[in-house]
Amino acid sequence: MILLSIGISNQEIYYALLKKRELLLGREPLSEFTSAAFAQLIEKIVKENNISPSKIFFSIFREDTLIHQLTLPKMSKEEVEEVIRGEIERLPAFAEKEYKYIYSLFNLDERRIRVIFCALSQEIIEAIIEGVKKIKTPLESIEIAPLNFLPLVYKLTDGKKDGALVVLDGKISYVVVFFGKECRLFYSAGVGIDDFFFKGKMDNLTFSNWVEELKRIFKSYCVEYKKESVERIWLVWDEEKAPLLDQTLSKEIGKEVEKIDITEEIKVSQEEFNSFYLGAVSPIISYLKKYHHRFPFEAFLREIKLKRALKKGSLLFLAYLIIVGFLLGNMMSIFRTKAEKEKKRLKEINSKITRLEKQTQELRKRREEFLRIRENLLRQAFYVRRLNRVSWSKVFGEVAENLPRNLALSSFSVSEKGEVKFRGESFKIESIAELMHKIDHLTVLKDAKFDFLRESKIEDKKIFNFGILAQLRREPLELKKNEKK
Amino acid sequence: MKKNKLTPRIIKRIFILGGIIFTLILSTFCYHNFSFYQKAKRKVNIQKARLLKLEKDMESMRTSLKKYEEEKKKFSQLLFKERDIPGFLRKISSFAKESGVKIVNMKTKHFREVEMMEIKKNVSQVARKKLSSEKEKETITLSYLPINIEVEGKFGSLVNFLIYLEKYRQLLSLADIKISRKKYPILKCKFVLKIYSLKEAKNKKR
Repeated sequence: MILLSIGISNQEIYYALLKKRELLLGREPLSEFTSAAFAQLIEKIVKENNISPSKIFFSIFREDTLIHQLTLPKMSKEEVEEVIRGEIERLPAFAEKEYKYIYSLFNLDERRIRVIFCALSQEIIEAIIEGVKKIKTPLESIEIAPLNFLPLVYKLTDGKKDGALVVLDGKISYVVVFFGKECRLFYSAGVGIDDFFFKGKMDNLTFSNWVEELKRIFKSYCVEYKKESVERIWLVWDEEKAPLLDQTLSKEIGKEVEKIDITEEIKVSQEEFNSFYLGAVSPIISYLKKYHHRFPFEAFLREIKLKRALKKGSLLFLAYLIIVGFLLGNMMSIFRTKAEKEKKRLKEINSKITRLEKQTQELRKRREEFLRIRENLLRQAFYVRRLNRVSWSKVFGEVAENLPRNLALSSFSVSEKGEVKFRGESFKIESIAELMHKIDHLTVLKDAKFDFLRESKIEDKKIFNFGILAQLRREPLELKKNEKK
Repeated sequence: MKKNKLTPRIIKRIFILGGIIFTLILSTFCYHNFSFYQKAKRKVNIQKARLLKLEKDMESMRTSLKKYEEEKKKFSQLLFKERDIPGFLRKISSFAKESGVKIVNMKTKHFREVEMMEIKKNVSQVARKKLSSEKEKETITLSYLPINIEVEGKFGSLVNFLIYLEKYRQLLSLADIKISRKKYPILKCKFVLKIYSLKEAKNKKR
């Protein structure tokens, strides 16, 4: 990732280029403040360094940029903004012109607030945007120096002591006094380094006046905030013009004056680093370290950033919609198809069940019918079998075998009910009795009893006609368990 | 100058929110379809189990019916069929000849259903009702064809004749047997020979 940051001052631009963690610094004269001149300068830097920057940052450090401090009674945000706009529009450079402003406010005491605001003409912003557009590189931010140095200075203090940042430009100098991580006082003086340092020589009178002004500012701060003194001072100046200015100022002001050390933030040699380039380096450090500015610089590029965010967001959102829509839609379609299949299957199964239930009912009916018929047939068959168990040959055989002598049967009959009738003649009653006795002992007959007995004579011989009743021996008519089966 | 409160961060949040809403809506639809599918699947599984049970029941019933058919076939093999009767009557003549008896008279009557008189005597009224209701339903029943036979012969011949009949492979029975003297040693024997057959209800009176 190559980052290009350009600081714009009144007569020149100075740039910082971060390429493969290496910081390159340079400056170019700026003839006119137009988009074409910007584009030309940027193209020149790009060409000379043979780079293709991923992002471009701008840091404005010009006299036509308004940075101002106001002390106001407590009021609403809308009222503060109204006052700020009034203050800006009071200046001829901003009157009836398009501009953008940003501000930071804090409570001075219970009744007062302090507002530090800065305004930038829309022309400058548009010139920068147009210039960057020509080289087709994303414009990341437009910041206002020296307000964008503050996060770097805050990092160097423990936050318990008051510190001051003094930024010395050609024709103007800025003083920012801060406590903790809050800017408490902003002051701009109409004296720059060019006023007391010319061709390597210092104008002691102007320098002393400037130092006195600084002392007054610090004193006024101490009185206002009831502090003893401003402990540390950081100085930002063009070291090429006045190499030992920090030491001279330290002697004059009687306080320790330091250079802002950025070696922890970015790879650079502290001795070789000219703090004049801080305006260009600061946006890169803030971007890389994600420092939060109290001054909302993003407001200058709100429209462009909004458009960019909208475009990027829309593209990402569309891509997301397509991917997620495809995935979830596909899943949905799979589930729907599966559900339809299952529904179809269910319908088929249900119709099969209905068919089978009908068939089962018919089969059950058939089986029941069959079982009923079977049971009845078995009962009938058993009855017939029982009837059939009577072996007639055996009955006749046994009866014939057991007929006593002197006895003759005229008839022997067996009814279906098993009633046996003997009819016959005998010469002796004893023979009849013997027959009855024998009948009771037969395996096929039982319950012998007299039916009748008549005496008659045949050829002068006494003869007895008799009738005997008996029963066939049959097993009781009950289906045994194994027979049922 | 009117301040626009829309910032890239808000836009980002709006898109993220839009994405979340879109995902949620689609997920809801997706879940709805999924649950619909799950529900259908569950129903299919339940019905499948029911179908399986029905198929098993049917199979078991078919097996039982097959078994009953086989039993019926075996049973009917023991019984007379109408086409067997003329042959059987010829067979009786031949048995008589072989046994040395003379058939004096042979008269066939109509088929009658086997009625279990002794059972009827013993069963309760409720059971009798059940029997009669079952009888009403009956389609196939065991019936017999009574044949009144009158034969003449010696005692031994008559017994042999009866032995022939008793050993006959199909089901028959003898009833109302009466042996009486004719002219010694010739005896006269009257009996009812019942040959059994399976008859449908409509054929019962034949």
